[in-house]
Amino acid sequence: MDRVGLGWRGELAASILERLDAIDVLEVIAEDWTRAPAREQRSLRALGRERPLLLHGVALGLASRHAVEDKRLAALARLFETAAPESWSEHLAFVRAGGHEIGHLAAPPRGPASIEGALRNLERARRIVGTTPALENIATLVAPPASPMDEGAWTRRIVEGAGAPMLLDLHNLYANALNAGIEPVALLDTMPLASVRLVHLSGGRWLRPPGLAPRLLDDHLHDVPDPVYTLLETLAARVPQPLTVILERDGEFPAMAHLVSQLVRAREALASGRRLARRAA
Amino acid sequence: MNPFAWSGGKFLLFYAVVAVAVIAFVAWRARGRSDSRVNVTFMTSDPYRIAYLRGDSAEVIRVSVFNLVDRGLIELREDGLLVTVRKDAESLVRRAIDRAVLAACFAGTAPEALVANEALLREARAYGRDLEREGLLPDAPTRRSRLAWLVGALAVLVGVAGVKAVVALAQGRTNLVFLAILTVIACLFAARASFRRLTATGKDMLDDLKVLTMRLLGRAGTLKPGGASNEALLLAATYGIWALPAGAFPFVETLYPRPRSDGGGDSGSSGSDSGDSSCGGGGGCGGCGSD
Repeated sequence: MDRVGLGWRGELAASILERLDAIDVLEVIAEDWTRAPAREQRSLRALGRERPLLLHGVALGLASRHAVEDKRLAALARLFETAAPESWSEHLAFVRAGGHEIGHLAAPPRGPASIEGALRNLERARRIVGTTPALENIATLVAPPASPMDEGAWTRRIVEGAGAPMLLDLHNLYANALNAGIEPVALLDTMPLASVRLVHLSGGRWLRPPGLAPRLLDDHLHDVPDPVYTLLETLAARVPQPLTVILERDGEFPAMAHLVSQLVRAREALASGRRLARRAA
Repeated sequence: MNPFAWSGGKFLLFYAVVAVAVIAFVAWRARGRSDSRVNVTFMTSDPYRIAYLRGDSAEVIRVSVFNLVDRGLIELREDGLLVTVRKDAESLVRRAIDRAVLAACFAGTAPEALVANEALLREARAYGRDLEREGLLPDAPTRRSRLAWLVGALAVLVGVAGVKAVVALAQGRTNLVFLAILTVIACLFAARASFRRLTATGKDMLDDLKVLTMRLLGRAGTLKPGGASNEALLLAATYGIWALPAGAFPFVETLYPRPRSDGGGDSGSSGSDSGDSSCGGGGGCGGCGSD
């Protein structure tokens, strides 16, 4: 059964707890909690008794030739043990290099080296945390240089090589497609759709640097644009497996009713896609 | 190796060790085990439950008054009395305590008189019974059990001291002042450890709520008055009305001036780590790559 949920943000705590009737699942940012005392981590269990919890990592930097530090994986493993989430996810990105933290989820060159590095890191993550994370495609304003592979092929090699589920961020996909000048649905079709279990929805804004082509920035501060709901409908029509859709909002929080209306639209898009699939069958 | 034959200083040390062990045991028995069956929704569906769990009946009334003033259903007149603004106000609230406060304010009442109003206190105590049923506050059997363990602990503490006193007196030593003082202190600590207000489940629930709403407290300054959202009410219930920003809710200090010992509500819990590269704190993950 498809599920629709929301990213847990402490700022929205009261509203989320009041509108749990509209939320099937909650996603928690792992790094908000990995360094918290065990007592605070245990409060996630209380949240998990309300709705299934998903843990979402943003700082491992799996898609890198550099090994993810053991201490980061160990902290995640401890949190996983304490909070007892349903599953966890991470990005196909690198976040540090040469001892420097980038502060962003950066797209690595899409080639054999980053694939090998990602698979090595994923194997270590699986051993230490106990399960393989769902892997998320990231947004990028420019195609990473020195990339002999396209995004779909590169992502497929890692996801299928690791035997991992995929967290498909549809706004990231949408932004990458527009920034690269290709059709979003064409990019969607290159992704390992059979592995998709989780979906992220979010919004962004256009950057219009003088003298350069406009770029869509995924900032999680805006509403989900209509074409992203259409992509969700398309995805639901193309895959038979149940999908868990998470709406991400990191700031400039609107009224909860507005967020709930976006959850409703996501449900409608899923239902519409499933209807299309049934009709086609 | 008979401790009752030991000299004063050595015996007092022995007695202190015994007392610490007894108090620790009583505290452990009084805390009990946490029961995870109670859920957060049960608490947050009625924030007055949280107010009672954190405080007492008077605290429920204070939070209710805050809520009703914020919603504009009662107002503080210049003569210092709270009055119900609308005749149909009672039809606009669903909780019994809110209705009772509105009824009490029809004729005009001082804020302090409300928290001493026996009818309101009786209404607020219903939350206590609710919380007892859920195991968040000790119920009568739990209190009896705690009392029985306390009586046992006191018997040990007084008994050991008593035997030593008899032995000492038999040996002609009468300097028992330090032992008497130590016994009284140990008994007081044992009593204090026995009469915890919350059960382990209740304490865990309150701690969980504080952790989960910590960030909401952090942005309390952005809350808008006027009962537009449930956030201010949840914060008032979880951390106390004085945790709300005076800029947005100036009437709080007028209604119930902050006690001198209160340093900003019950908001002292530590913050969780926001983590490096985290997207959780707002501002998104934009840039050259984002999630």
